[in-house]
Amino acid sequence: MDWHSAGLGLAATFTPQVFGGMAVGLVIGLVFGAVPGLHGVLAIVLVLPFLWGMDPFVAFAVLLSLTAAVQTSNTFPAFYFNVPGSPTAAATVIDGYPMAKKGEAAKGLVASFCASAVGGVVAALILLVLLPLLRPLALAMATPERLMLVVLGLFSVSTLSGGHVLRGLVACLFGLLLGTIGQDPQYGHYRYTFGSPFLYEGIGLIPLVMGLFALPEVISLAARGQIAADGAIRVGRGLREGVRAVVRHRWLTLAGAAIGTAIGALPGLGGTAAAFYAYAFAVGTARREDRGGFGQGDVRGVIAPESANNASAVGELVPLLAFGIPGGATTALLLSAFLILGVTPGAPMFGEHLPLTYSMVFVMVIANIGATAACIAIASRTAAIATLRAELLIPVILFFVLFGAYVGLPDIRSLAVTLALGLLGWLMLRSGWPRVPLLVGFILGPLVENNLFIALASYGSSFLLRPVPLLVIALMVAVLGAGLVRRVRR
Amino acid sequence: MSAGRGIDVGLVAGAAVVFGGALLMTLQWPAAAAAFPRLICGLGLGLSLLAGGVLLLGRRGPGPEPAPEGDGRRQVVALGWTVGFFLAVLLLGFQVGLPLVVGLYTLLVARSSLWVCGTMAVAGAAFIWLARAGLHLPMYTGLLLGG
Repeated sequence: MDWHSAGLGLAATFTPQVFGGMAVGLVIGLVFGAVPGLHGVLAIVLVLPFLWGMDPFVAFAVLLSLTAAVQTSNTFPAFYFNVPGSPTAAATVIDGYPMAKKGEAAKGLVASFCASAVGGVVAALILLVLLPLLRPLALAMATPERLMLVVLGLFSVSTLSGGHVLRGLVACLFGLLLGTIGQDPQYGHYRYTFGSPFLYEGIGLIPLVMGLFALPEVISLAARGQIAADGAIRVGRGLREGVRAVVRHRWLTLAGAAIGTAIGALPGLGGTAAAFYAYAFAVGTARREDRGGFGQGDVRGVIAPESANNASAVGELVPLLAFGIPGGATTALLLSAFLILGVTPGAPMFGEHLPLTYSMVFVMVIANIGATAACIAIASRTAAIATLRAELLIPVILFFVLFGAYVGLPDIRSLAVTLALGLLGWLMLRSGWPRVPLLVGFILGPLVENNLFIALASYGSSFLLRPVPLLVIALMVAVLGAGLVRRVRR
Repeated sequence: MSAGRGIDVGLVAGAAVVFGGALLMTLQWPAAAAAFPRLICGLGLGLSLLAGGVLLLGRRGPGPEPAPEGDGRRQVVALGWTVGFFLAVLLLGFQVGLPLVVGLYTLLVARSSLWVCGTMAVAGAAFIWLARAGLHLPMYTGLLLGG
């Protein structure tokens, strides 16, 4: 471990500004996690425009605290309303809601919050241990290897982010195409600008993110017209019982953290998959005569997925920091934040920005503990979420979407871009097309083009015959081939 | 044809047209500037046509079915309001249009009292005024009010 950089990161973290940022992130994350229909992606999208010019240490304190708080507080709706606060809490619903119906909401909620904290902290410690190992890997990466890893990331996100593989790949390629709008980075030729100076710099990340993610969610929430159907659940007592449950099932909690970290580190899988794997692990490792309680309100069915989904949020930072490859929607938006703040992920995160990398790990530890403490403190009052009216949230969110899109690129045409992409995002949401590959393609497109240009100029097309590119190509062909064979057999 | 499948067909066809059109545009560019877009458009066009073929054969694929939230009419109404927000800003600008449409939505859709509507509108206007003063942003004033 680079103790000097770790010390700098620690010193930079323990400042009033960073703690203020964490407090802001925690409050926003708690609200967006606890209210069904709002979720972490929407929260980050709305926060992004306000990051311009912010100190990166403070900006990442806001974003990472927000992420940790969403992953923790999204348990409330799973218990109270039988719906996950965000997709990563879907596995928690299976046993969470039955626990609440049995009057064990407090025990289950406290157990899930404590498991979330353990998952997040353990994953952050694993990341801390991994950092020295990732550093030489990131620094030793030559252009062809970097290019093929980015391509592999695009491929993974496209094929694994839910929905049909073809649709994911088409969405990703459309994102790459949108990323080529503007001036060609090598020769300065204007591409797809139709002679409009507005498009010379491209279509802008914030309008794209606002349109593609925020608007469709707002329309869905408005169409649904309500936050939740039923909030008549007793919170009950059981604070101590919840803590005791996590201590009693400590190995399961740690296993959930390990599963979450590992799954999170694989691009394209993300927290939802991690939570279900952890749930399956909890069921699979229970004694046969002891499995009957799962699905009926077993606290183990809450502990394992909650530990895993918080750990997954940290695990997703591994490919993001080391190679600039986002694993899902949240990390794709974090990558957007990197670009907004002028910080380059990859090798610089282990060189000039190493203190920032360490600070991000420390923030994750503090934020996970803070989010747990806050959730326990507000647990008895959160049933009031059911009384919130979606109709009053809609104009507020739309207000910030429009204002944020404009702040990101102060030109009225950026609102037209937001609206057009909002319509596209709504159609994609309605028909089950994945939107994350489009965003990831848009963000990584320039990186792919630059690396491709350098690789071709330096090595010619023979760069494809180097071991890592060959391995990546073989992996992609194998994944596509296996999918095709499976479909033909069916 | 269900709404989801209709949208699916529309998206695939739209993608094929966009990729095809974008590919044609690259034919007039210098080879070096056109290389990457051509690669993307070629792959995109091929995969869109493949996806179209799969759709025509009636195989939707193993992906998760979309979860319709709210009926079609409510979706269209919600979409209409979203467009309305944009039009209000376009015509009346941020300082007048956005608070006005926030107030209107609160009154007509949320059916709140005039006091709540007014509070929401005034809070919106105050936020924009503060942001304008603090961030020194050139706020768009709208087509009708001199933008």
